[in-house]
Amino acid sequence: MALSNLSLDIHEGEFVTVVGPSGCGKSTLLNIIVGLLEVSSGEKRFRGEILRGINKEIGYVTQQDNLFPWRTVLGNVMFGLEMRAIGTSAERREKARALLDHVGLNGFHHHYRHELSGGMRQRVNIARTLVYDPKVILLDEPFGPLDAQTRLQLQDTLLKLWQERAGITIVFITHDLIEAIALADRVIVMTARPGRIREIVPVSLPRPRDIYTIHTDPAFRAIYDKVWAYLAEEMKHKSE
Amino acid sequence: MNRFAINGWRLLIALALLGLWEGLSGPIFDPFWLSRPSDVALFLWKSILSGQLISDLSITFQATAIGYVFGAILGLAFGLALAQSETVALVLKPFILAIYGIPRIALAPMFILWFGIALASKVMMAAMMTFMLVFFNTYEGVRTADLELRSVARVLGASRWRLFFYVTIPNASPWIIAGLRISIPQALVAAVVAEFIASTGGLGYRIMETTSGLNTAGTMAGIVVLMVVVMVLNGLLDRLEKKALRWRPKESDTKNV
Repeated sequence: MALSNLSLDIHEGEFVTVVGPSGCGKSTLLNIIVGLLEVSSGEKRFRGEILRGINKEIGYVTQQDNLFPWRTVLGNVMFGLEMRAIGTSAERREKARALLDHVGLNGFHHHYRHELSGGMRQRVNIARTLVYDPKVILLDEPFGPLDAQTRLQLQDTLLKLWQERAGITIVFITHDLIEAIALADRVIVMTARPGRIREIVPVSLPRPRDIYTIHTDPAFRAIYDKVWAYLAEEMKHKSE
Repeated sequence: MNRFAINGWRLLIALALLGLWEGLSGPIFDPFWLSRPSDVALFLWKSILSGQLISDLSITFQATAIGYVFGAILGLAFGLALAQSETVALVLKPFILAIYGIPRIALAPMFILWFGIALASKVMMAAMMTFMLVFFNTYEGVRTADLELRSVARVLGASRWRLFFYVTIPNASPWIIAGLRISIPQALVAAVVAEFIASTGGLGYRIMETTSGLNTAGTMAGIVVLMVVVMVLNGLLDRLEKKALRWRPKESDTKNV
């Protein structure tokens, strides 16, 4: 069992990050939320209703970039629109183009996956999910394998996109505590496997935030120490 | 080496080999057994002038093409269908491996028995060969489907049918295209082998006929024509494949993979 006794409410429009020892079932949690996995006991509600199967109002950005290698950048971003039959072919193209420009991929529309760097792939991956305007977006360590500078840039892009599109709910898994606190309204600390919620830490830093300097704020420091204390305890637990 | 130098060396080696064959044939071994390039060229020239080469080529080509189209359509259909169900795939696995183990050329005599000495048996041989290769490649291609990509597509809103056409097939396309590609020369060989056994025309018939007439120049000419046809086909198919699969990284381009 990956998760047990886990109860979690996420509010509309909220940015929630999830941290926890590796293997504690963080990805399982997202797979359940989106509907790729079903709960073995208990229930999952979306806007008050019990749901089964894939929830098409949720977008999911996975750790591996998972672009369709046979489609160009533009083709990847248009995929969700095609599957959902949104707009005419010209409208879909226009929408995808606009979003790609927005995430800084102007000029790469006709490139294939193997022609892109890791950071570019993850930008396409995020654009592919944002393009059909899901109300909830799940991200599973989306910036994990990237270098520190690219991570910061992408965190900045994500935060701006979230602020522009008021009302989007984000659940974001990460290993990086700084990232978790800098982005979130609430940080959820999970226990070692089988995963439960150890603690939910509110992040009361003002928005809009400057992702490049926020970690120097003393209030940030205090939250960091708090989250780290919980997490360290769980990691010790796990190694015993 | 630049392109020009590479082609120059190739030409040089080809001429050297032909020269060696021409020079050794006579002083070292009897041209009766292996003929010699000049005799082969003369035979070819005569067959072109008399129209026999064109007629043989068109007979063999017809059998190959008809058989290929049928075999490819059936191979694709069966490969895609059988790979759909885990259970069916599991049950049929040993049978599929057994059929794959049959030396396919060995079926030629029986095909003559079943389908006669006319065009039908050659078409069936070419079709059977194509079917096997296209079927196995398609089947394997679909079986090795990328589960992550399927999940991604489902979350992005793909229905069952769309998943099949937009993910399963493109994902299997390198295997499918490889199957369609390697089966073309194989279909040709199958048709020629059927012609060896019993026929009234075609490249295989001509090779057989000249060999039984102890005309090795004629036999070598037939082999040379087959060789050229296969090389030209492979060259064309190489280009088509590269074009269809241009989304795949080249082997020299793996830094981002």
